[in-house]
Amino acid sequence: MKRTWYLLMMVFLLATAVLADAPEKKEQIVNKLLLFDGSQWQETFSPQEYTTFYMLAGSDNIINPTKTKVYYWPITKEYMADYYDLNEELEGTLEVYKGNKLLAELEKQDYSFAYPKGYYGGRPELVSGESAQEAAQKYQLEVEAYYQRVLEYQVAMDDYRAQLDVFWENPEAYKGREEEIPHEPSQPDFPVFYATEVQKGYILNLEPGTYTLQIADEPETKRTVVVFSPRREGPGYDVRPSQQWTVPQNSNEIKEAIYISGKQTLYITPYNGLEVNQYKYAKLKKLPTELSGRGGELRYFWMQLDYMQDIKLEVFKDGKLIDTIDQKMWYVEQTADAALGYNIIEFDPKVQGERPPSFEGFKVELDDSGRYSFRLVDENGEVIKGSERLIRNIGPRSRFFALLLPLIPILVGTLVWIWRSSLSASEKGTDKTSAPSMV
Amino acid sequence: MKKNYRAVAVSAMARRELHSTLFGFGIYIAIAIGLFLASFLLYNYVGGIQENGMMIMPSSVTQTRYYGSNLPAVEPMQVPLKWAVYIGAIYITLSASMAISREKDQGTLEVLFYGPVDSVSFILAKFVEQILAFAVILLFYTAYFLTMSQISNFALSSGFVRMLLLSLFLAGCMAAFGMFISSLSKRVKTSVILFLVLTIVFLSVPLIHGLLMNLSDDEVKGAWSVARKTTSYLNSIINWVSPFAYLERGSTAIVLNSTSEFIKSLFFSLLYTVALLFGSISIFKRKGVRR
Repeated sequence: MKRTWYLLMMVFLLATAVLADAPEKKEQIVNKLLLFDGSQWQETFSPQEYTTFYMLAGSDNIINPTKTKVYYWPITKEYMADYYDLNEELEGTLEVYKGNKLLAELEKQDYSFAYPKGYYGGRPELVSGESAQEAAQKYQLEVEAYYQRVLEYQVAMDDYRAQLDVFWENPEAYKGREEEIPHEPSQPDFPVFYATEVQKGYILNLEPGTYTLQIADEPETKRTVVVFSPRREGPGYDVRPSQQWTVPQNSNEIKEAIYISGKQTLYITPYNGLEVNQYKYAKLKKLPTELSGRGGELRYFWMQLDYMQDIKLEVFKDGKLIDTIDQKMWYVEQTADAALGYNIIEFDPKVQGERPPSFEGFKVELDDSGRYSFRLVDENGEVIKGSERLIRNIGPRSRFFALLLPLIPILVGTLVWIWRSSLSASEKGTDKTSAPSMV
Repeated sequence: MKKNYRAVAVSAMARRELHSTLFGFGIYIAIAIGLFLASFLLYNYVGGIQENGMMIMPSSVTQTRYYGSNLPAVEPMQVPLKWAVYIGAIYITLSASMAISREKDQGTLEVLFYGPVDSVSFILAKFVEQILAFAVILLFYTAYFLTMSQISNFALSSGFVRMLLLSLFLAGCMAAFGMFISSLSKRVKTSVILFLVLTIVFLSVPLIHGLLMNLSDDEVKGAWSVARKTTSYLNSIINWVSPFAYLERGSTAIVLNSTSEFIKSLFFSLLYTVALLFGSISIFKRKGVRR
């Protein structure tokens, strides 16, 4: 009895110890990575357990060998770095080898991410060296100018309130002098340009291939980098039929056609697309995870990147240009009565106020006759490669013939069978023995 | 045996077999099944377009950052043609897989070999007959797709012609594969069972792997992860062993508009066919013609 009791106690204590087990952290040198995914930079890292990482060819990527603490997180089956506990960036010259040949020796550079159209307004740009300092300074100046505008606004508001008090003392006195009635000053605009703080790192931009990197005389920093290109790239589209605006369909390939039935209004939103290897791309975005990209070594898929801006859509009917359309913001307005329904109207901030637009795109109205196609042109009127798409109107009797046509081989087979039977009968009648063979 | 005698024997046997095939009902049933499958797909596309107002026919998996992942949809004519070709190819493989074992089973093979027929001419004759039968199937398919394209307005591009050419090479792979199975077994039943099992594996593994790969990485844990890796390994083997994979490779080249990849796929199909035919002949020689 006593022995059983001890045994139970031991099991309980062990179980408690297991439940309370925090992941063990190991100090090691990792490579902090900021890798370009086609539209923005993804943060991941390369620990000692994953010494091969992947990046896109012809793009700037940031690498920073760092001493930190790494642990394995079994729930998501990935390695994690605890930079809060230890974060010592290593200095030195980064050597880049292709095979045994030394290709380049890199020093750390200043870099910053600039957002010329605002943080939510499009692709960031990686700026380095003096440009990084300038970008950060420009942002600082814009912020200071904004604070100056806020101060001026507050002063103007104080003046306005004072004038308003005077006005309310005798409003009748302003009859015939309406232009002297005080007007509320408008709020200052927020700064649009944004840039991150200047940081330091090794900037790598390589051609497709396999390379080895390491800081000179620091073998623990040694890594293999597989640089790959997208299999294909080009504009893709989200296409929304007006009757189902919440269900856009994607078109990534120039060979694809858009099939419609009857008269139709489409809303077309172009984006930049990349066709990439599933495994390499998943590893680019999240390296030290067992599951990322697993099994996708032979597969390719299209990745939808950022939406395209500053372009126009040319629409053709039977080969003739019929319209050049600007991209607009659209707002989906529910109908006023109790029944379900909506109207898609052009977004107007004065009417819709602070409500955001529902989507952005080109509105294309199509008849039920003729062959349509469309393509994109940039600001200079140059056609954007790979942007052409056909629109085809489906035949109304297609379903009937789809059912009918497969019966024809059976009819042919039956006729052959009847003919063969009659042939066989006539051969029997003439006492011939070479009847056709059966299958 | 001299080469011209062999050619005469091949020609005579192939003609006799083709005559027998065309006068049977089986080939017409196979064509009709292929066309019904193609029609089923086209019927659904038209239904989808009419219900949703529109449809885009992409040919690859698409993952979007904004709306989650979409399942792969289909190109209008290429995919129905591919499935119709599969049915036609399965028919000739089934027919080829029974070609040797049936004659062996019935004892007619031994009688045939008393004449001017050897193992090379016999295997080649059976092979040529399957290719000719497949060409007849392709004629029906071509007429069907041209008519449906006119009626429905679904596009037919140069890819369609290349797909037809590619499917002839697939027929070569399939017929050689069938002959190989047939040379391995002495009984018809064994050949058919072997053929069915391998066809199911060859078609289902890539399909299952494709479905598993459409799950996002975050969802794939435990058994799913193991299944994903296992099907990935199996798929890489099937990629070289399965005759269907050669058509798949070629159709990818058509989608990518890559002439070099297309020619490469034709070359590998040819290599596969020749290797299996040699294998069939050597097994056939070793096993002999007796029951």
